Amino acid sequence: MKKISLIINGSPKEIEVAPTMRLLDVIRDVLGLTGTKEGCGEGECGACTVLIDGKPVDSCLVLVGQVQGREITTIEGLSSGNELHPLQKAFIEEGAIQCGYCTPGMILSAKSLLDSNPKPSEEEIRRGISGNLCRCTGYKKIVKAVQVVCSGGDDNE
Amino acid sequence: MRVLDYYQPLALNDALVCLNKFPQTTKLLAGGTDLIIQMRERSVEADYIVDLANVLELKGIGQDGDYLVIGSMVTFDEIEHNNLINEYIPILAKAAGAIGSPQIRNAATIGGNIANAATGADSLPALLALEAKVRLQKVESTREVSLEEVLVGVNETNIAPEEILTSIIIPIPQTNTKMAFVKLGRRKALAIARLNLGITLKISNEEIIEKATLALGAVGVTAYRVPQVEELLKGKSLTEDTISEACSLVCEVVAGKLGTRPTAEYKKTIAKAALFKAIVAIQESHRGC
Repeated sequence: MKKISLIINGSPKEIEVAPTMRLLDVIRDVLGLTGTKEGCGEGECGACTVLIDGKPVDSCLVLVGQVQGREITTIEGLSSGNELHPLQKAFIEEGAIQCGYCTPGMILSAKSLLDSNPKPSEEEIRRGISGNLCRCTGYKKIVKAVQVVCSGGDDNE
Repeated sequence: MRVLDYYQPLALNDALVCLNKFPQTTKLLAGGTDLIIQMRERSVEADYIVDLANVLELKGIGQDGDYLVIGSMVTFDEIEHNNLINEYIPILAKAAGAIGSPQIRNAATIGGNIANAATGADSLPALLALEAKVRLQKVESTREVSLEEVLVGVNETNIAPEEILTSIIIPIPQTNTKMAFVKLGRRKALAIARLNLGITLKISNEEIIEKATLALGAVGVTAYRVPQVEELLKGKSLTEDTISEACSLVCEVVAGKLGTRPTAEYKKTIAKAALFKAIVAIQESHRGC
């Protein structure tokens, strides 16, 4: 067991865990943030995506020891109070969500993309979410939802 | 995943000392995108982990005279977007961008890709075509060897257990060197390469190929150079005949490497197609300048 400090969704946390625990397990089982999902457990599906210092990473492929002192954003960190993040709203409004299992990871990948590139082309959006698999809706509506956010909510653009 | 201890050195020297205590039962942790899976499925076991995440000396990309030096802990996302790499050795940026997914590229490192030595590792054909060397350090000494010498088998290198791969050293290609990287996979993202290829051609003002390097991956136990094709191209110009001879020869080489393996028929065909595609890309960029 080691003391590990992390910044989770903006608040500093100190936890005592084995440094070889996967970040995914720490987030879900130690911190109780169950919005992050485990899919394949080997970096193929992206369901467990979180942002580390703003960049998307598969939390099933990271040991908590590796992220000592770093800033982690999970899906719970996006809304402010009851106000959903524009991407969350757009996913709901555009029907880019069915079973919802891929959604937290998908939204975090999209957020990271828009933070570094506020006006991505469709191709850039598709590349940005290429590490997140969706088995329900297909990607059309997901891409649309991201486009709606970057065009400032104008559905017709 | 159970280990006896997990070290997080802050300096290279500390990492070397840590590793040197129990080199046979210690694993170095770079990005973790291969090792964590391997340890969870118990195909790799270790008593100790030395996590290199905080060793700053392993993290830079810089120019040293006629060479680019890339720290082993540099991620593929950093490589894909680095200015020096895009200017001098764009095939490495392209290979980096072909790896896994954005999530994988943000974690996976170039040193890890080499040390894990997967058959289809995407950086390897690009690095081989660029004639990269690797610097291997242990407590008392440092050696520099060509990447080719390090790759010996599937997930197998001859990096000694007490050595750390600290940097990758790439000679800046001579002027008039054109290059291309091709990856053929089942999908665009998250695809293990069926074949990957790196090629550089130094073309004189008289349109003669003065030097050629060609490397293939995912068509044999390790990635490898193809000197037969390099020799064939040298001294020729890129006529249709030369291209078609080179493509036939690469097809033969791959067929020879794969022998009676069931994929041989398919892979020798795509090797030919990949080389053709790469040479066409080089011709296009050559005309464009």
